[in-house]
Amino acid sequence: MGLFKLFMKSIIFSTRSRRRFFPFVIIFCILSCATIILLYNFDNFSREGLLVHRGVVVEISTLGTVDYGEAKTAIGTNIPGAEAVIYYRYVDFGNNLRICSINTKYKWAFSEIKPNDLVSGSFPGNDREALVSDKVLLTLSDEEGAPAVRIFTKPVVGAKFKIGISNETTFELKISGIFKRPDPPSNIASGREWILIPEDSFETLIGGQNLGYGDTQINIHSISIIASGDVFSGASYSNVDRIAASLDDLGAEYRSPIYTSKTDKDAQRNMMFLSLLFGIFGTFMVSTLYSYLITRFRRREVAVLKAMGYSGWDVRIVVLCEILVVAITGFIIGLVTIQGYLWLIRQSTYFYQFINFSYNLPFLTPSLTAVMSFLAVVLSCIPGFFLITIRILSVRPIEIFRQK
Amino acid sequence: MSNRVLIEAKNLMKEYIRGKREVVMAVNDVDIQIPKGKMVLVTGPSGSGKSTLLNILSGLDKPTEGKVLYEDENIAEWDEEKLAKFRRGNVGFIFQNWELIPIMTALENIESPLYPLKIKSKEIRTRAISLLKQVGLWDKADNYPDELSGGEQQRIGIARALVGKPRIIFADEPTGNLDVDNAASIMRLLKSFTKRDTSVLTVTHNEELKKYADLTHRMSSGRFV
Ligand SMILES: Nc1ncnc2c1ncn2[C@@H]1O[C@H](COP(=O)(O)OP(=O)(O)OP(=O)(O)O)[C@@H](O)[C@H]1O
Ligand SMILES: [Mg+2]
Repeated sequence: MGLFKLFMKSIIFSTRSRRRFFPFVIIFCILSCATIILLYNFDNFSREGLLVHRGVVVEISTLGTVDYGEAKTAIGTNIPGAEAVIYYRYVDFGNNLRICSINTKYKWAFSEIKPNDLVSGSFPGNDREALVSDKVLLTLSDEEGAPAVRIFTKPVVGAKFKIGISNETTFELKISGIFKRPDPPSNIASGREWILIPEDSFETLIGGQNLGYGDTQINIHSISIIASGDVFSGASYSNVDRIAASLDDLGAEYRSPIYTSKTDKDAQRNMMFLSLLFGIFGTFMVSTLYSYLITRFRRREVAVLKAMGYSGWDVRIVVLCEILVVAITGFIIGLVTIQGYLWLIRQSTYFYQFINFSYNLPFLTPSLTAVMSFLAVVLSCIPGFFLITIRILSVRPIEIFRQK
Repeated sequence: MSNRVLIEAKNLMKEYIRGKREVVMAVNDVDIQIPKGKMVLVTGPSGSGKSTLLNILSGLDKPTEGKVLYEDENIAEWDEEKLAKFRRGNVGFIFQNWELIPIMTALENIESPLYPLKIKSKEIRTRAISLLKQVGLWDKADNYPDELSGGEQQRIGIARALVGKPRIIFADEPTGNLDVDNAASIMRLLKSFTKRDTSVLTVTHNEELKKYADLTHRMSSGRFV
């Protein structure tokens, strides 16, 4: 109880040393903004950019369609430097639906839909889950027994629906996530709404027992070949170049492989590393500097508190509270500022016209990025905490009697 | 030891090494007794070792030799944490420069020694307010130290020293930065608390203050004379 009381009081007192408090809140605020944006980019990179760094995408040209069997023969089974070959197969069902297979392990490997396109929910984690586009209209399956009544509804995460050609052979799927369909729709999607399901479910659903599509009716949307080796050491880069070279001559049905060359990626990766280092190092430097300043400015105060009988832990709480309060206040203001700025940009039609990517801008509301940046800010204070602890413990109360 | 004696020190020695070789005997073979509920005054010129003696008796510093008996316990042998705990319940300090904490109001400064203790906030507030009234600064409760005069700050300092209900208050030059009138009223205030069995040890270079003391020692070059 005593420590909690001390903690609460210390938080209040921390905000009163105005001359330190406001400048440092602003500095922490700026650094938090930088960290949030950097981590957003980093996160974005791992969700969106990874395909560029690790994969080669082969799309089908508009000249015709390629079925699964043909694609397998053309690509071959043994590609040097490849870790995985993912075929994005689809069938067109009825007039508006396209059912497509996705790989659950490499969520970022589909060239058309990335984790960032999710509006809600998540990618299918297991069998019998589906990712659907936001404009899909579904007949929900909970009107069992009254198949004549069809309710068309917008998709909701967690809802179950059935696909089938007769009432006996329906295949039930649960919506795990909803994505925003690329707008304008890609030429391949040709205006259909998409349902994406894991490869295993796809095979069961399409096969003879259920929808009964034959092998030649299953078309290929694109093929992603994932290079082995990791991105951060750059080992995957030469493999990407090798794979791309080996896929050079696939025939007229295929477009030429989409990939970024090693030199471009090296530059990108180095930039990202540099900026991340800068952000984390910056916060670390400032929090350490701040800790140092606190221990200087509050040294006499600490000596007095110790003379009054505060234990080592008591004074530590008093002083650590200040840096925590400053860092957290700065972070919150930074987060709100970024949100406000993004909101303004979205509201402004003027901006909207010129920045037509604006709907892709980070809107971080409850996102993992915000949580991660918060942790980064708090963690970067830890060296400061140690500095404070060491310097505080070395303060001896008799210092008060040496006159200023 | 008589049960009217709170602190008894025997053969206290404190050596400092200054420069390379020179040994300074800041306190040299001092015996002192502080009775309960009395004001003891130690006077002496600058550099005579008054502050050093006060630090040792209050457990802030350790003697090179000798014992500091606090009801038969030798606090000179205790470690920092044990001493901190001991000071919480038994000792209050008053300093020459008042040393109020600038980010706390007058009332909060008085409360501050109690924050780490298991005492309810309400009880702390009640005690602080009562002391604030006793030192006559009830109307300054919400002022920050830099909004108070020196005399007022020292009254807050006294209230802060008393809030933990200590058995002894150590005061190092409590009137050093005050004019004559303020000094007199501070000393009278301190004296008034000795009537409630709180002992006070005051060290000062100001011989004028002798008239407030029950017992007086004069110090010179680390010795009582
Ligand atoms: N940490 C130290 N290192 C070396 N010498 C010290 C130290 N502290 C005190 N001294 C010396 O010990 C002697 C006594 O110092 P002390 O501060 O006790 O004197 P004082 O009587 O309180 O003087 P003043 O009235 O000026 O406060 C002085 O000669 C001083 O220089
Ligand atoms: Mg002194």
